[in-house]
Amino acid sequence: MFEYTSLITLIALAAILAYSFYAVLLAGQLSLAQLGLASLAVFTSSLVVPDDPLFGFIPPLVVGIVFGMLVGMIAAFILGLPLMRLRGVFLAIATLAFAEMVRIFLINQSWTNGAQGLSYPKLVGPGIAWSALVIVAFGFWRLSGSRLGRAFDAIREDELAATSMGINVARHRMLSFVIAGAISGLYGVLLGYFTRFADPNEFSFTAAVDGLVTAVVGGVVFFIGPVLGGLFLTVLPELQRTFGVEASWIRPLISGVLLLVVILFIPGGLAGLIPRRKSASKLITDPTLMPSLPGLPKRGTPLVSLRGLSKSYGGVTAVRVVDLDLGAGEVLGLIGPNGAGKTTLVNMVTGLTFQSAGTGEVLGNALTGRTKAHALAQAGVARTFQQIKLFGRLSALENVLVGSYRISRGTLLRRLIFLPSARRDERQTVAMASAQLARVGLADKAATPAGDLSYGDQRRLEIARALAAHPTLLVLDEPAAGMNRVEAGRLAALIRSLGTDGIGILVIEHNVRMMLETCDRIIVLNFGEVIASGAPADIARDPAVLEAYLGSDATASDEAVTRLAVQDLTATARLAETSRPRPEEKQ
Amino acid sequence: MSGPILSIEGLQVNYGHVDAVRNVSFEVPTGSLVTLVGANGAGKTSVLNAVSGLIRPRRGTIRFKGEDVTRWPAHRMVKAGLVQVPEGREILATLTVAENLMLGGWHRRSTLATNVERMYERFPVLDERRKLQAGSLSGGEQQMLAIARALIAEPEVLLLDEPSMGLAPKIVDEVFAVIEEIRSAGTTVVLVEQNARRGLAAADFGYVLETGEITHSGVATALLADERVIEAYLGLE
Repeated sequence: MFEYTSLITLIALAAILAYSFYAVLLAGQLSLAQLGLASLAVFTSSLVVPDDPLFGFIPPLVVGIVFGMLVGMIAAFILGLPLMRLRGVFLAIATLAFAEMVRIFLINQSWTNGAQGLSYPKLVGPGIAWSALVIVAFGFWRLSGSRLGRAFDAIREDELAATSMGINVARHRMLSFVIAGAISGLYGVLLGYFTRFADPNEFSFTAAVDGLVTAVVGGVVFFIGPVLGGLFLTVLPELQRTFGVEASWIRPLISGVLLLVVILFIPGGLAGLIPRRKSASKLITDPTLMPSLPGLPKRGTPLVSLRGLSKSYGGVTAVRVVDLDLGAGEVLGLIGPNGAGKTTLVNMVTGLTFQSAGTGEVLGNALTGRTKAHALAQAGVARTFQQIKLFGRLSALENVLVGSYRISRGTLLRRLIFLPSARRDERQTVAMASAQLARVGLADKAATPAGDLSYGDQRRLEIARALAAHPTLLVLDEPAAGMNRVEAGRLAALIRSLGTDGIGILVIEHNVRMMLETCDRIIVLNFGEVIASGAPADIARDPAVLEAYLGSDATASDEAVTRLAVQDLTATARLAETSRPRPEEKQ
Repeated sequence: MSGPILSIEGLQVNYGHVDAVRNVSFEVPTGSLVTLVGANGAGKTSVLNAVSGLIRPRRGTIRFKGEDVTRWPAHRMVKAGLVQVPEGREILATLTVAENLMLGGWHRRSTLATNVERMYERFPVLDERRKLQAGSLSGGEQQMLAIARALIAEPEVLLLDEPSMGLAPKIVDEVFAVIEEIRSAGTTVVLVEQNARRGLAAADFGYVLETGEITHSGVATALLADERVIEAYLGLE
């Protein structure tokens, strides 16, 4: 009988350790520091845990758990300060080094009894271990589908895109690391008071690998994964013993093969086998649920003003002394040959790179080396990318939900106690996202993973995601690439309607016809310099532009294009003045 | 033009439950230029990828020079003489221009050196940049590199997926001039192009794909004059 209670407890402990890995994997990081944090927690707690209840009523184990989790969090935070700038395998190696340092340090201390280890009273049984596991799992359950959970998803899929949605990537990575620290501390203390013994060598590299494997086998896309992983890896050896598989070599072999089968053939781990109702694939089209949004600035309000902006990389000057102004409701086009510096320019406007010379102001924020992309995004800048940066494994709707990060409120804490206001907020966010999907014509693809969409649909989805942030300034980098003329025409209509709404739009595009039809004003860059700027019709006739960009055979058809553009613009202007159609109708 | 060098029959491609291509059949006569046009998600890229062996079709037969190549992997197709320039160029950004070109001749070792030199002559801009990382080239230069790399593999059939995407109008002119040149040198070309008017104008035959099926086909000039095609894909001039 004892054996079974012990097994049941070990399952819970393995799952809790797996959650400490899950917490960082969720945000796309690989840390191996968890066992080091756990051993710090269990050994330091031995110094403070009293024999009798604290103040007569707080049980010693509670003191140990709270203290251990605090130690784990603080150590993770301090460790995270230098290490959180590392990514991928470098982070793994650095955190592994930390865990080893802790182990060797603790072995050589007298208060830890060195390699002999410390003994602890038996305070943890299956009841306490499973209660702790249920609480941790509950937290992760409520995290998925909250605003914070979506931010972690976004960072895991694409950090740059997440930054551009206004998510502070550095802070969120640190947060996930500190959460992992708390769970590691919990694990360490529970393990010590369950096995009645702690020895620094227990918290070794092998143990870290076990925790990581448990998390991966269980699956890192669904909150129940670590529990399944813990169950699988703890019960498997027991089952083999029950079935009389005793030869010592065959047991690890069977475990290993089963492990490989899970990793190779079940994407998303064991949790991937569970069919689940995806709440985030249902559109909400009820207009009364739309969140109330702040109004956009008055038409013509200056949004962007650049003065003498330059950027050089080493000896190469990508952008040379560019002046640019953009007001609310204006559609400003940026054209020029490949490599003319267009993308570099918009990267400076959106805070992704910092100018080498000159000054700039975007939505009231001066562009300095300290202006971060996520801060500008929070101020109201949204963008799309030349190389599409969607969250490929998330559904189309989930992508757009991340986009509304800026205008939504955090829901995790309220979700933990099931406050109805959290649900209402979530529904408002979904309604906002649904409206944007519908606006770009992707409502019927809401549940499709973004990576499975066709190229042109991905471009449209990026625009919907940017619009979900309710931006004041929208930057579009080659939105029509990969679209045919009819689709590009529809996109042009959408862009014009956004301008009519009062959004300031900066658009880079090679589809000259579309630009002539869409833009109020066009700036032409060549070798980083402005060679022309003005009304579309003038640009299309400018000899310098023809020479550098349009090519000489463009002249013949150019007259027709220009005529068409001018007609189109006047028609649009007339339409806008007389009827002011709602954007939905215009499509 | 003699018989078909490439023939596709009853091609079907799925991604999970989604049918990307259903029952597509067409032939590519030797030495011709065939253009596939259609809306986004119509399945054009999936057709090319199935032909070049990058993805496995669910059903259908692909014949190249009379041989059934339906289940051949991509590297074997390249060796047999069918080479693809993929959507988005896919140049190896951290390798130099010269290294990119040399990798193009993986199966053509004996003629590699002369082929590379010929490409430098044809694309002087690549010659100037041979020691530079390919990722530092501009979009137009990268497209030229991708085409040159494919030509070094000595293709009998060249598949081009959206070669004009993201390029300035002037560079698009250059790309089409190169395509015209390749074709007049005797190489068969299959082109997927969003700039449908331009793509069809360069072609002998055109096929219009819609939600994974061919809805219009014929001599390219006829398609260019077909009102239904104009309305759906070409836009009014």
